[in-house]
Amino acid sequence: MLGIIAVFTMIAFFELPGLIRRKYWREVIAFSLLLFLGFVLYTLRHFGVKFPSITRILIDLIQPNLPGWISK
Amino acid sequence: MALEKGKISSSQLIFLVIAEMLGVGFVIPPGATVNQDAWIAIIFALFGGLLLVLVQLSLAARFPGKTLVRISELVYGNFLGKLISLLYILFFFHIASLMVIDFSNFFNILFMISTPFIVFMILITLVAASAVRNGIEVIARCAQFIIPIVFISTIITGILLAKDFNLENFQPVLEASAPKMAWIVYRTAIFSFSPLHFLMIIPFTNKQGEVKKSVIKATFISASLLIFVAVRNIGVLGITGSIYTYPSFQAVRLINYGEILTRLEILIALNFMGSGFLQYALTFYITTLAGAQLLNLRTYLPLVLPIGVLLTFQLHYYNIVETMEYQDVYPFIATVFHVIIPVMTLIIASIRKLPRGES
Repeated sequence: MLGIIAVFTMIAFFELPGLIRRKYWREVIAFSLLLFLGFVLYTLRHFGVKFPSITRILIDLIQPNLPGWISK
Repeated sequence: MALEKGKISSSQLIFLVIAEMLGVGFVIPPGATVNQDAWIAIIFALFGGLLLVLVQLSLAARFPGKTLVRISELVYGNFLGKLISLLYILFFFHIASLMVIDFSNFFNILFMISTPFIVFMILITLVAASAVRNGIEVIARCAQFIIPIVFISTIITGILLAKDFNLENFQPVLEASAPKMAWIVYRTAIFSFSPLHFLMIIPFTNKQGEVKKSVIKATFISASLLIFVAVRNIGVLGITGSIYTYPSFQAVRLINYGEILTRLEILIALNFMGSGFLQYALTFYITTLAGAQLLNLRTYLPLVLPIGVLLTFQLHYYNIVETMEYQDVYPFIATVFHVIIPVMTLIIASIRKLPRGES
């Protein structure tokens, strides 16, 4: 957990000062939202939340409807 | 406001397109499921792919200097255009995730078995992020350096394997049933000759008139290398080529000249490191650029690291079996983005007589 916090703080410190100095507020908002999303996902996984694989979902949706001559 | 100030030349565009088309293709060869007919499938797929390429090129010619996001906004109006652009960005992100996992899988399965999976993903993403932050010119120069090496080493391994080559492995020709063959041809065309990314790159070429020639030339060059790899693998491995996950790797392993010139499979690994990195960096770049254009940002640099963080968060296949299963599912998703939406865009643009002579 400390590692996750450290990495995300490093990324924020690397990127934010220059943006704030140039008053790029819209960029700051976009950057923060995306980084926060990443932080939330990594934290959830750290606390043992199992994420379904996107490809698994797509395979389960499409695979059963495929005709037989498409190889498995 | 230009997000990307760099310009690339026509020859650099050729190298970028080749990098995009080869990518994972010569390690996980397309069309391996039709065993000894894979080379025929690739030849047909080349002509199918050219049709897809021409659709994209006519879009690029109709809207010179505009990227995919701007084209969508122009043609579909503001709201729907933004929605379609968002779908495209998600699709690019999806492809980039698949690439980074393919890349990491290769090294994790064959070379460094005990290393945690995420190490590979973080390392390659860091290198790719630095390339993306430097812009399209740097990626193009990387391609100029890496692609010739890939070509030369692939041809050298082909020559060294000539003594293990067995023409009987190609019989019986056209054994696969017609529908299955058609399916594999279509899959290969979508998988290897998918020209979607160029709509994000073409605006940055300095000679707009030569774009069409460059892209078509690059398609033929990359297809010829893929056919060469397929013929080499079939001739050396025969029917067993279709049961390996990485046939090229297994084929090159057989090179042995007096215990001195041996273990050349590291060449395949190096090539894959180069071309996989290029393809990944290009897709990563396109994702960030499209995202920045969609949000009307003044620079795309702040989006690079957050998207890189999301790319290393493994939301796609958890094992190699899923990868193989997904090869038959991916074309259905890709068809929407590679075929349906571009063709619709072309039709609507010609009906609405776009672009209407504005600068």
